[in-house]
Amino acid sequence: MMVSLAPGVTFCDVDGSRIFLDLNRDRYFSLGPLADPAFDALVRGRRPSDAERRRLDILAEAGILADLPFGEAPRPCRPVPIDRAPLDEDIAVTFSTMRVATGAIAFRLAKSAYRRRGLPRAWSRFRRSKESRLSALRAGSASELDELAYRFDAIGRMVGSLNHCVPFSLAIASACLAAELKVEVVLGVKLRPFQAHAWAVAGRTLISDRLSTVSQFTPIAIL
Amino acid sequence: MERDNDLIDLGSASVETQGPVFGHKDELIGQNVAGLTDD
Repeated sequence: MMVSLAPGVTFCDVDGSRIFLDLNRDRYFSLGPLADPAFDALVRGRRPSDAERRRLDILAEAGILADLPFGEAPRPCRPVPIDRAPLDEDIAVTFSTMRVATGAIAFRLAKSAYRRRGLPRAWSRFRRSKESRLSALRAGSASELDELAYRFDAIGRMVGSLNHCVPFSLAIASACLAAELKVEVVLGVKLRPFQAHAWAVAGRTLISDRLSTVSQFTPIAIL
Repeated sequence: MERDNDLIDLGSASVETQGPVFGHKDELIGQNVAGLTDD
């Protein structure tokens, strides 16, 4: 048995502070001054003191940690490397009105579903959709990803994507899955002040955003 | 009560459903978050 993060709980280090996301409970949180060193012992594989062990028991009771038979020591969310962002380039891309219209409808539906059901449901729905197609997914060509990035940029301006980064990222990622392209949706956080953001990356290409926006955020969960 | 000191709530991850925080807005979301900073 190994004390691990409970399923659905992820974390990242931001400027020396650990930020956690509990997807099942729909909360961002941090650890207090006594719990954080205890958690640090787990991360570093150090034997916790008796006092730290009591803190870890409290985190387990709170559903943050779990004793899992094949669990791993807690590790922060991995980085998501980005080599290019088409929206930062001056590319002439053409797309059909029909494809803009279908994308706009998909984004509107994603916004509406997200408003009603929140992140946990939207995340698990996208997970199921991705898992059902996993074996068919391939890396997208540069021209395919350029078309997606610029088409959804136009859709975002038309439908309104500001402050709707989660449904926007899920909509463009779902369009990737429909085209059998590999894609990841990333949730990221920053401090001073605390903010969260979501974006979509296909391979190493940022397709939902500009690099200057996402580079401020540290990934905390990837799907 | 110990649990309350050990977990500092930073807010809902679905804040688009609850308030204008998730996204680009430059706002603090609570007193506890201010406590995270060195300010």
